[in-house]
Amino acid sequence: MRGFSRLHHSLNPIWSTFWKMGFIGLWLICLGGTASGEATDPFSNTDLTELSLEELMSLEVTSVSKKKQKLSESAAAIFVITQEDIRRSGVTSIPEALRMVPGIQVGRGSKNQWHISARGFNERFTNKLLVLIDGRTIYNSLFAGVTWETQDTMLEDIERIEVIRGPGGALWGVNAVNGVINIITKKAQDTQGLLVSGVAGSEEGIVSIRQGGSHGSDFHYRLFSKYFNRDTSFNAMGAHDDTHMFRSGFRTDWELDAHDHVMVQGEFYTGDGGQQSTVATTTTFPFGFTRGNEDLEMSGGHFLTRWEHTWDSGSDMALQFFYDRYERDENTIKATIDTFDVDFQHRFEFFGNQEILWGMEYRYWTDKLQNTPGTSVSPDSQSFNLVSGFLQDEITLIPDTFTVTIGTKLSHNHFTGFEYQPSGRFLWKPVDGHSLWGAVSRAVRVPSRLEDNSLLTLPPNATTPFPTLVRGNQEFKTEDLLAFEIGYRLNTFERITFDITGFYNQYDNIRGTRVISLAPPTGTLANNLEVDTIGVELASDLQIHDWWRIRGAYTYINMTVDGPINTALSTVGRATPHHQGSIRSLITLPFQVEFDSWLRIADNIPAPNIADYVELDLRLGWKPWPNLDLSLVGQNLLDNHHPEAAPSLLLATQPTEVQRSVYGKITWSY
Amino acid sequence: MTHSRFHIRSPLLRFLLSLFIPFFFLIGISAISRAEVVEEYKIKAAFFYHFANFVDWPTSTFEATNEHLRICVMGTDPFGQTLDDMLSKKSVRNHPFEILRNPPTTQLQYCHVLYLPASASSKLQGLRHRVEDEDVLTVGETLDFMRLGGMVQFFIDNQKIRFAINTKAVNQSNLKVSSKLLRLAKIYTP
Repeated sequence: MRGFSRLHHSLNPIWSTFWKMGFIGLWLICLGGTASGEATDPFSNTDLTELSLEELMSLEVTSVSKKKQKLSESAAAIFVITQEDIRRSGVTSIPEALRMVPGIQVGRGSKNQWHISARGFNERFTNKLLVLIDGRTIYNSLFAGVTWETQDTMLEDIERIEVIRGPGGALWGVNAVNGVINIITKKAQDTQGLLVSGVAGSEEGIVSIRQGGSHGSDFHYRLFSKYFNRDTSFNAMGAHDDTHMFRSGFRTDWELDAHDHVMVQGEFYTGDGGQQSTVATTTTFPFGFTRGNEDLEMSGGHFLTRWEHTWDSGSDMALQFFYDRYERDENTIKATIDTFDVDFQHRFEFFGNQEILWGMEYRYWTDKLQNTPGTSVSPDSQSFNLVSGFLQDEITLIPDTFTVTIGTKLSHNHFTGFEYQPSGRFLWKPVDGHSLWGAVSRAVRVPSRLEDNSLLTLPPNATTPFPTLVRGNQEFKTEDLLAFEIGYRLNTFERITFDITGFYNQYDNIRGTRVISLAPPTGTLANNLEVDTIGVELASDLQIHDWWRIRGAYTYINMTVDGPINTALSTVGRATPHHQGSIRSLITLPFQVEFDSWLRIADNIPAPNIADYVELDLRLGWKPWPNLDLSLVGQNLLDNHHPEAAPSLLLATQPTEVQRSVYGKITWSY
Repeated sequence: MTHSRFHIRSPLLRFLLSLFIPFFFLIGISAISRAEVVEEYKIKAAFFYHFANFVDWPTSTFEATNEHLRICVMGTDPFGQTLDDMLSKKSVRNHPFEILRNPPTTQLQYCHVLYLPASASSKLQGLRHRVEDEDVLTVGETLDFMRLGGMVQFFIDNQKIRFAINTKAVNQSNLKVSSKLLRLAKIYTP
C-alpha cells in the first residue's frame, strides 16, 4: 500500500472531484426517478376505461402498497439461520450456530469465552459487531464488545438469526461497523403448549422447559426456564472453565386489533464461569502477580416492550423501550451497568416509488465499577447519553428491477460528539432470480470506557518478559471505516440458491498503542493503525433431492495492517483465519429419521500459532411420535481437543481447547 | 497522512469505481426511459367500469332509467380518489356511476356493486345476509372472500391483474354475467 502513496496523492484532487460528481449524479438520478414516477406512466393521460378487458389484463402493475421486502432481496450481504438450521445442526448455543455463516469468524476460547467477529478483527471482545436480541442491543459499552457467555435463550424458541455482514451504521448506529446480528425469538402464539427438552453428554447437560398459553384469541404468552452445566475442557496447564447458568423469562404478544401489536418480554439470568487468570496484586513496579483459578459471577436481566402499528396504506411504526441490567464480578474488575433505551421507527411510502424509513433513539446508561490493582477505570462510576436519528430512502427506479437506497445516521455520543454514517446502495434484478447489489458506506466505532480512561497492569506474556502498563487515552477517536461491497445472488429455482459477496474495507484510526515510557514499560492506546481488508464470501444451498439438502459456506479474508503495531499488546490482523469453510448435509430418511453432518475447516492463525483445523459434527435424529424428538449428536469428532482462539492480550485469561463431545437430546412437546 | 474522509487508499478500487460511476448514470438514464408501469388501482378502477358493462342487473334494482349505479366501498378505500376520478363522469346504459364509502350496513341493498378491499374482504361473512337476496355484485380480493360466497375476486398473476368469478354464487342471484366476462375470468369452483 505504502508504495502507492505518492501516486494516490497526485491523483487525489482529480479523484475527490470525481467522487463528488458521482454523488451529485446519484442524487440527480434519484430526483429524476422521482419526477419520472408520474411522467413515465404511459397511461397517465389515457382513460383506462377506454381499454378493452383484454388490454387491461395485459398491463403490468405496480402495487402502491408495497409488501415488506424479502430479506433475499435486500442490497446487503445477508444470511439467515432458521429454526430448522439450529435444530438440525445440533448446536447447543447461539455462538455455535454462527459457525455456519460465511464472513463470520467464530472461535471458542473456553466454555465461557467466545471470539466472534464479522469480516476480521477477531478477538474476545470484538468491538465492530452489533448484536441485538429482539431489538435489544447487547453490545457492552464498557469493553466495547459482546459478552457472548451471558447471551442465551431456549434455542427451540428462536425463530431466526439474521446476520448482516458489512456496515449497518446507517440504520443501526455506532457499532455496526463490520456487521449486525439480529436474534429474533418466536411470537408467543407460535410457542403454545408445554415443551421440555434435555441434553446430556460428555461436555454438557441442559434442561429447558417452556409453557405457552393464551387468553382469548388475541393474547398469548410463554414462560421459560433453562439451566445448563458445561464441563471443564482442556488446557495443558489446567482448564478450570466449567460454567453454569440459570435463566428464566417470559414473552407476551397481544394483537389489540388488526393494526396494533404489543409485545412485552423480560428475563433474568445468573451463573458462574471458571477461568484461569493472572492478576496484578500491587500497583507499583515491579508488580506482583498471582495466577490462579477463579469463578467469575455473572447475572443480569432485561425488560422490553414494543408497540407496532400498521396503517392500511401499508406504512408502519414501532415504538420500543427496554431496560437492561448487567452485573459481572471477576478478579480483574467488578462491573454493574444499567441501560435504558427508547427507540422509534416509522416507514412510509412517498411519491409512489419511494419508501422512507426514519427513526430516533435515545439511550442512557450508568455504570459502577470496582477497581482492582491490575485494572482501574476512572471515574469508577459514570453515566452516558447517546442520541441518534436516521433517515433512509429506498427509491424504486424500475419497479421490481432497480432500486437505490440512500441513508445516513447522525448520532451524538459522550466521547467524540457528533458522528454521521452515510450509506448508498443499489439492487439490480435484471432477470427473475438473479440479483446484483453494491454498496458504499461509512461506519464508525465509538471509543469504549476502557479506552477512554483506564490503567491496565499486564503480566509478562509469551512476547514480553516484563510486566507492562497500558493507559487509556482521553483523546481516543472513533475508528472509521469506508466500505465497498458488491454481491450477486442466484435464486432462480426453488432448489438452488447461491450468494457471493466481495468487499474492500478501508479502516482509519484503528486502535494501536504508542510507547510513552520504558521503565516501567508503558504504552497508551492510540489511533495509529490503518487497516485494509479484502474478502470474498460464498454461500450456497442445494436441494439435491426432496430428502437431501446441502448447504455450503466459504470465507476468504486478508487484512493488511499499516502502522506501528505492537505484537505484545495487539492481535490485529493476526487472529483471523484467511480461509474458512463449512459444508452441511441434511438427509431426511424414511420413518422420521434424519441424518445430518457438518464439516468445518479453518485456516491457521499466527497470534499465537494456532494450527488450522478440520472438524466434523454428526447428528442422528428420530421422531417416533409427532410430539417426541430424539437425537444423538457428536461434535468436533476429528480431534480429542483443538485450540481455536488466541489469548486476549489485554485481559490475562487463559483460553482452553475445544474437546470432542457426544450428547443425547430428548424434546417432548404437549 | 491526513486526507478527506472519502479518500480511497486502494488504486485498484479507485479505478473500478471510476468505471462504475458512469455505469450508474447509464442505469439511471435507462430507468427514466423504461418505467412503463401502471398503478394497480387505476387498472382495477377500469375493471369496475367493465364489470358494470358486462353484468345485467334486474331492472327492479333501478328505480328510474337514469338512476345511479352505486359502487359501495367498505373499510378503508385503497383507491383514494381514483374511483371518483375515473368513473364519476361516466355512465353505463344511462346509469351514471356513484361511489359510496362505508354506507350504513342497513342500506347495502341499494348498492349495485359491493367492493370489499383486501383489508375488509373477510367482513363478507357479517354482511352477506344483508345482500344475499338483493342482487348485489360482490367484489373482493382474497380467496377467503370467495369461500364465503363472494362473486368476483381480483388476483394478481405474473404482475397482471386477473379476476375470478364464483358462478355458483352468481347463479343464486338474479344477476346475468355476460359470456365474454366469464370467458376472460378464472372460474372459481369451491
